[in-house]
Amino acid sequence: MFKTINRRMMLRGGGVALAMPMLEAMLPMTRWGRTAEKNYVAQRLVCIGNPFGFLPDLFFPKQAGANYQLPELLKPLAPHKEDFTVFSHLDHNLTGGHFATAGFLSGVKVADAPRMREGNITLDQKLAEHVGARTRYPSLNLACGGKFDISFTRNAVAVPALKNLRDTFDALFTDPEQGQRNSRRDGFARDNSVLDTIREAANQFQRELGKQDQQKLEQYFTSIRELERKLQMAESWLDRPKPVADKSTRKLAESDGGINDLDNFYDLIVLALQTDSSRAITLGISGGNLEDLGLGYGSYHKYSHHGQLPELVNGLKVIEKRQMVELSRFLGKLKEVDDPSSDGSLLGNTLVLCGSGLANGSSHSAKNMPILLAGGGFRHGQHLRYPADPSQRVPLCNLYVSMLQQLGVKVDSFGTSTGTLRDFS
Amino acid sequence: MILPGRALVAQRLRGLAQQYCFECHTGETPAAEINLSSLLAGVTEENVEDWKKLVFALERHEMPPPDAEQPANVQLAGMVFEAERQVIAYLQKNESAPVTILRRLNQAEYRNTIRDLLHLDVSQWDPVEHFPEDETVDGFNNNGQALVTSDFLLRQYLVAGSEAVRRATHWEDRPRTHHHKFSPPPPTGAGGRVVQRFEAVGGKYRPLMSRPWKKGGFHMLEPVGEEGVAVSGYYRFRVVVSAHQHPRPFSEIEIDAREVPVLAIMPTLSGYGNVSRPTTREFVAARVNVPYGNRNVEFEKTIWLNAGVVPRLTWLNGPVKPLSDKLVEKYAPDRFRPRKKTWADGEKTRYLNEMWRVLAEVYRGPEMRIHELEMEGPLVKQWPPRSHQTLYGQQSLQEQDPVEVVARFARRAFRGQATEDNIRPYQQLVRRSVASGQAPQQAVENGLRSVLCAPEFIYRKEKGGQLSGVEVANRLSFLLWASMPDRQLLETAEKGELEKGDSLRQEVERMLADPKSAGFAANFLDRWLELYRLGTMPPDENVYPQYFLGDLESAMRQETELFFRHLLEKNLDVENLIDGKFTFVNYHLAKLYGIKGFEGSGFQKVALTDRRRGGLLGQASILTATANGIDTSPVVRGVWVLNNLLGTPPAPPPANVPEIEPDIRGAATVREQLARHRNIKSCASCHRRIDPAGFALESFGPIGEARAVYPGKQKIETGGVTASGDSFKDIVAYKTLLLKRKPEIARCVVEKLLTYATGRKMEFSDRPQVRQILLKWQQQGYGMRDLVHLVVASDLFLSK
Repeated sequence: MFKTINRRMMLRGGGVALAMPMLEAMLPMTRWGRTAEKNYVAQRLVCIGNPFGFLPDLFFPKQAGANYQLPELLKPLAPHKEDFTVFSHLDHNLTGGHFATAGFLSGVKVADAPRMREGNITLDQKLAEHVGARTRYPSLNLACGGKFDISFTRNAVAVPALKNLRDTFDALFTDPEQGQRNSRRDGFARDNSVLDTIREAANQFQRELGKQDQQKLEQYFTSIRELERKLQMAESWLDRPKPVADKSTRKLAESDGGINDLDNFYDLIVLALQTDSSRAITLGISGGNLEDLGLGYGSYHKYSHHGQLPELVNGLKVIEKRQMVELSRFLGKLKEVDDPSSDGSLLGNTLVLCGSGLANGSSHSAKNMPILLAGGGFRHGQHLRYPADPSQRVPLCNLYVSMLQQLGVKVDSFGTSTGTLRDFS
Repeated sequence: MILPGRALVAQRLRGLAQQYCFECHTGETPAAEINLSSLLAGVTEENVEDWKKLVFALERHEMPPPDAEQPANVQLAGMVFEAERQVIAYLQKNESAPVTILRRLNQAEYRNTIRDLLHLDVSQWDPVEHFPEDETVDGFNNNGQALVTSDFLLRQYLVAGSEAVRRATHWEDRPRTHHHKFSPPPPTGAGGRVVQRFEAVGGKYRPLMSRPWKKGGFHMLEPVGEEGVAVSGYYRFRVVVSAHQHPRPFSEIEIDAREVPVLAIMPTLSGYGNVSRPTTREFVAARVNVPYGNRNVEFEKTIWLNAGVVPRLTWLNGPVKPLSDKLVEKYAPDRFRPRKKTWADGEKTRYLNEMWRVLAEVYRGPEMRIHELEMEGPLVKQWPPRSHQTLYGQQSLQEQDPVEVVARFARRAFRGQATEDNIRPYQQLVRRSVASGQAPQQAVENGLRSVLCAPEFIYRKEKGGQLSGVEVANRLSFLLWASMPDRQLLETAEKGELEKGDSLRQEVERMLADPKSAGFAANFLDRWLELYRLGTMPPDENVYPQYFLGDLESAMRQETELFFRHLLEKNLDVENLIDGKFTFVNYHLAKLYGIKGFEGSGFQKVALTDRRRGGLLGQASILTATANGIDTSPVVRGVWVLNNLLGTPPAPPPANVPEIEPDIRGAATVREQLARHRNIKSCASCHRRIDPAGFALESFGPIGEARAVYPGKQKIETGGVTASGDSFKDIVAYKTLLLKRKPEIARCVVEKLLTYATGRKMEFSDRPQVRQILLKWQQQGYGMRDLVHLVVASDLFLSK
């Protein structure tokens, strides 16, 4: 089975080496690459979020424009200063403290989703709806340090993230055994027979309902259709082998716990992009064990409630800085690795968004969200400052529209947008 | 409650408004941009919301403002009544009546229904573990409009359905019962140190020296191993145990000497972590008090264990501090060797073992000794088990028609709502599968699974208008049991007897007496009082170790559930919610509340002498759920009181106001920081309603502990002035003011229960029916059990 894909290429970058088959041989049915998707400037998206924001004084540069000085939290990103943009005074105009956190990638709180045309669909899921069918995983949603879901479908359902390195590794590299594949195929057939049956039953059931309830039941029919489509997709991937991981790649599955896993998560994301296992990826960083950061048994949440107490502010700084150090390492890798589908590096065709739905964990404000965007072919290297005056506020969703367009998704609105983001291209 | 005479008509409303309101609310720039002179001309599409505001403002005594001339109460009631009448007349003409939208089972309902339908244990296996969160409206997660069915959820239905059928089905032979007896019990499980201690004490008993929190402390049963028991069933445990305290214990070992030691059988699910340590899925299956002294306690208990569950014994409330080489250094300095910076392979383990052996010999601290241990099981009372017989009866599959097996199951699973037309597709699925050569067992299992994904199972069908008997039975059982109706209830309904005479009342009484009614208290309180927030933001374990040591989180929840169930059981007055003279506490809650002289370790009803603790606002569950584990916010707690006790939710904060930036370094208290807020005019109108309750509740810290100062040592001020101008000095005085607002509180409780019972929001047009319930309730004396009967008998509950 592996004979046709025995060509291996070594991917180098900071200690990660992966033996992987040529993509064309690996994916005979979705032959993609230069010709098919040449028109896209960028096709991939990685969104990274934490629950409590970043210390505003240490995140936002003092000067606007290209010649700004890197503030303390952005210093680890110095090698990539020309590859990212940092934004001020963009937000979703949300209140409600932690409830705003879930709105990070959608602009919409979960409670407000029913009133929105597309619910609270997040950026990654929006992209997945467009390009997801081309990859094994329409989206890959990960969480480092424990449960933290930042991705939502248009039905207001949180997409549960893979919470550990082992599951992530297995999703990318571990093929099911032949026996498992057969039983999964049988399973798909049985699932489909159930779906046929309940659809037929629902037709009868619907006739017995009043008009409003009939409308409500449409959700059930839609769910059946959607699930059939997804089962079909999953089944079509069943016989296509996953890329082969070498010894050093296998080591990425080993956990050190909590925030120490962040580097491995990032390395696995690089590999997921390289192997085109998914083009829409999210990573929620929820903290976990802080002992190794020298912060004892305290929780990330406690440090976020610093109330300006220097000891707690410093602790939070340590946590946030660590996140930036790992982000910098990640961007470095994306720059080093060639894009398998086109000329240039992975970063050139990958948009990396880092931020949080909560701007300031201490005041629980969601105003002026910390937002940083790298890669993907935009003109970077600047600090873009938008009006702080509420009457001239620019929605963060405008940036999301610009991003989606850059990703080749033909939309002119998203969430609470009023257009594309001005002064940014 | 005062009702106006019939003579009061629209003209009177205008007249009174002219007298008391027009001074501010007329002209070019009327107060709050509400011109009553033009508003009162009639209800229109444009002004209907302002009309509703008028009703609320009058009813809540917010208008006229406290410093203005007030209409007499009877006049005020008349204004409310007349304004409401006009709004409802308009709504009836122009808007469709509110109805409950098709509800799917939420997580709790699905879990309990699987339990009752298939007779499966769901405490050790959670069928909804991977379901997405249910959507909520105003905190309630059983609102038909809001609950979403997605392809993701449908996928989970397929998976959970398979698993449920697999767990219920038992074609295998009757399992053998094993009997293990250890006397003395051998040292197993938690590693070398136990062996050494065992040897050190001459192998007479198995010592337990610590609790599971933070470090080990489990005694496991070797024959069972880490995979857990192989077969689900009842297992009998017999333990002989004693507890000992050294007269001069090591001062390093911290333990509350007054607390009675508790030995617990604390099983865990395999696959959720290292089973010799605390895991993420473990539960206390049985517990026994073992007082210090040389007296042996014999303890026998039969418990259910699912296959894959690992039984373990532990000292539930033993010392936390792990014993360490530090103790050896102090108490056996001649035999102590210091730790190295770097270790050769295996050297560290050898070192630790040696230190432990020394420590075991010189140990002076509290310990439990297990002298005998027996385990026997599975004890098979009937085979195949009830879950299997429910599906297949006594016969083998060859002896029956697979199509009929599935049809029989569907009739039960669809809760009296299905006709033969509804059932036909499931029969056909089995017929087709068998015809295409599938093994009968597989065909049946897939058919059973499809029933658990069926619209007739997932949704609660209600045709419209007056509910049918079966529809009422379903509403009733999901209200009072959070689960499907049982056979008796359905049969009564199907015979058309539920509507007759006293039978609805009798059913409610029967159902409240059933242990399944725990589901009502748990789920209703979870949503009404927002107890679901407990555990979402736990406190820092260094600041509040007692929260973890005493398992306060589950104790808090239990207190409130016991309290509520007691009010229901004894039909006590709704005022108890504000100012109860009693509550339920266990040892750790008693300690948190400063209740003196509490003995024992379970929950007991206690009379409250500290009036701060009376009622919900003194209960740690609510005080913790309205804090964030780190600090408290008067705003969050104040909003909670408005939402959940007074039923007057404030408007969301205006979008352009900055959040408070907490500063706990200096002298400014959160109250002083809030003052800045209240000086902004657009904030003040809501915050004068929100903040007072919050200020009074500042007496309580993030886990509900009473306090007089903040962590920064600033003194806490708990006094304030309510929106209606009454001043109070502390929480006790504030509660006295709350009691004067009993009608509002009663209305709030009625509306919350109706919202939960009907699965929809209470709308303005429901007000007359709500008022009817309130009037009757007042006449009956505001008993909590009476309220359940009134709600169940109301048109709102009995129609869609």
